[in-house]
Amino acid sequence: MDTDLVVRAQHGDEEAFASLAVAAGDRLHAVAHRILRDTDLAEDATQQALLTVWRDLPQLRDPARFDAWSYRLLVRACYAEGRRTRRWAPNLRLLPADEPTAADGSSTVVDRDQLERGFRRLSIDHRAVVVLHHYLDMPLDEVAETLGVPVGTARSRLHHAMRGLRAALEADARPSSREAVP
Amino acid sequence: MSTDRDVTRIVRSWLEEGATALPDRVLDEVLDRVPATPQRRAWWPARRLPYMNNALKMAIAAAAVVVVAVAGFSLVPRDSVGGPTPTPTSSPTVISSVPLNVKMQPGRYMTDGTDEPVLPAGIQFTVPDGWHNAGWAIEKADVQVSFWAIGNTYRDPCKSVSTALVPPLGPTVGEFVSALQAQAGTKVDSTTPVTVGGHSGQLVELDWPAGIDVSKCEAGDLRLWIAPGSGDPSRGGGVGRHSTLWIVDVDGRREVIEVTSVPGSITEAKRSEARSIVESITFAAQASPAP
Repeated sequence: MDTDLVVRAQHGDEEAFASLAVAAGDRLHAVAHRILRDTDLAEDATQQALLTVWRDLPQLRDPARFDAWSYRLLVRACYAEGRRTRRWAPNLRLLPADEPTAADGSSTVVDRDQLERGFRRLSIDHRAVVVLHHYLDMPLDEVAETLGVPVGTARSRLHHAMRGLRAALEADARPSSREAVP
Repeated sequence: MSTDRDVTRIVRSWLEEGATALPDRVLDEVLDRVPATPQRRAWWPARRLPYMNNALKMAIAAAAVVVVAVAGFSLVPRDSVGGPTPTPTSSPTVISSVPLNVKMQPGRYMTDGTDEPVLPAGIQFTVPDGWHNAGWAIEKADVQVSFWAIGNTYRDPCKSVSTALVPPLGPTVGEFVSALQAQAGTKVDSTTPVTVGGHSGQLVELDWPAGIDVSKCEAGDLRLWIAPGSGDPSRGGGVGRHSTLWIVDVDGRREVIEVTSVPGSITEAKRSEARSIVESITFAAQASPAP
């Protein structure tokens, strides 16, 4: 990230912020979509995170830390979106049929369906660790710093989450008749 | 049975699927809202006040600091201030609802701690005539009083990017006092046992670092401590200030009341007024955390 843009935006330069938002918007949305597993929620979380970035930028001490800081705000926005929908969403699941198969063919339809269900059973805390570590390739110490938790906590969450996903992959793939498609 | 490596590979492959591009309409909505979204400034009264417009100050008010007014001066160490006070006959006004830069009605006010930086909630105090809400503090003339929760401090206020304590500051009054005493350039003139609102702690007289070209500091200013909240909002300022801190343990919570001013600006009248505000402080009981 261009730290000059960050500094200018910190001082209220709206054009500089627009450039930052264009540059950061896609990566933030990609992470939000993978944490929340819902397009509308991910868009709302990304929008809220970008506005929070603008609002709180003057308080960012180190412009070089912009990327990690923006992920932290995004995950917080995901928490908020997750809380907002918790009461009505827990028993719904998305069908993965519209999403492309991975290029290497390793992710089968069954795996994807099982992963989707297993991932949705995780808390936002656990999902965030999985996405930051396995999607963004962040080392665990950076994950911990981004989320504001001790490294041990990040490691524990990752272990718990991967154990849950492994169990999901190994479980019976047949969906229950009570599940619904939003 | 899948191996851990298989599971990791499958999860990574699965995470590669899905949306990546943020729709233009979402980005447009963000950029449309930016002009009406004031930025939150750093908590830096020395330069912030002359530079800020009302919109920014309103934003900071929403962000919420609370504050009381008093005097930024060297308070004579006391055995005790505050203490049990009569229960107010009417509900106190929540400070974050008070407009900025408008003279406050004399009366009872309360911090609500509803926004970031995370501020202590449930501190009640009586504001005399002539004070106004400056957002980060309440102030009268060049004297400000503010309430703080402390998340961490720095080894060097001029190197606030690189010297935040690792591991972070512990939760006790003594740990914060010790950290201030060890801070490069900060001069702790005295520490005295004190009670506020019936809770014990330390009264600290503190001189900010002097003789420093702050433009060469890592953040372009001095930073004494970090409040909880996104972006690690910190207490910033310039050289030559003096702060009086009441650092008290309120049922396991460390609460800090700061009175600050430019040296030489304090008068005996302000001193008396400041003391009356501090003496009026009571702390509301907080709910116990769930087991």
